[in-house]
Amino acid sequence: MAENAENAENVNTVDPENAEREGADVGVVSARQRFQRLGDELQDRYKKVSEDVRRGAERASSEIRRGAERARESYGPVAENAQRSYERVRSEAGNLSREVSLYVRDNPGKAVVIAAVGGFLLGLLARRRGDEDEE
Amino acid sequence: MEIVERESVVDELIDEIVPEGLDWERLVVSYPIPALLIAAVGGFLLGRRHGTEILSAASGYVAAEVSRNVSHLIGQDG
Repeated sequence: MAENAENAENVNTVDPENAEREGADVGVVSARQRFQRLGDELQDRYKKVSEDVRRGAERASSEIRRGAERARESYGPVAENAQRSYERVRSEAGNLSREVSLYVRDNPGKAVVIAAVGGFLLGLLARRRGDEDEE
Repeated sequence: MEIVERESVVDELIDEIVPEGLDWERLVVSYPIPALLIAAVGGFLLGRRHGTEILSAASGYVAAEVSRNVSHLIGQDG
């Protein structure tokens, strides 16, 4: 009977310091768990974002590669045509230059006079056009 | 490189214009394209600076020649 009374007294008189410490421990544990959860979520999101970025980069790189291949396929013939035209024009210019040289060698005086008269007429035209622009 | 000797009116005219002792024919034959370019540029500058004066002088000369020939012909007929 006397023991029971003592126990009841003990229960009723709980040490406030212990209670405070227990409360703080519970808070710390709960905060730690919350931080842990937050950290896990952050890590998951980072993984997802990095995965998305990696996938996007791969897609962009493959698109670029495909575009370059397409450009090579479509511009290849154009470049070939341009090269052929350039060669043809160069050869024609060479022929023309040879013919002009031959004519000049055969008729030096006439060729010089023709060139000078052509230049004179061009100069006359240029002067007239300049005068018109000034007016 | 052999140059065929041939005296035309044009050659005589050029001989009169260029300084004596300058073998312009040989130069033109040796360097045809530069010679043509120089002639064209010279003509261009001349036409740009004194084009109208040269044209009016030439047309006056031609008119005078024509009138002289015509009056000569009329004189012969009369």
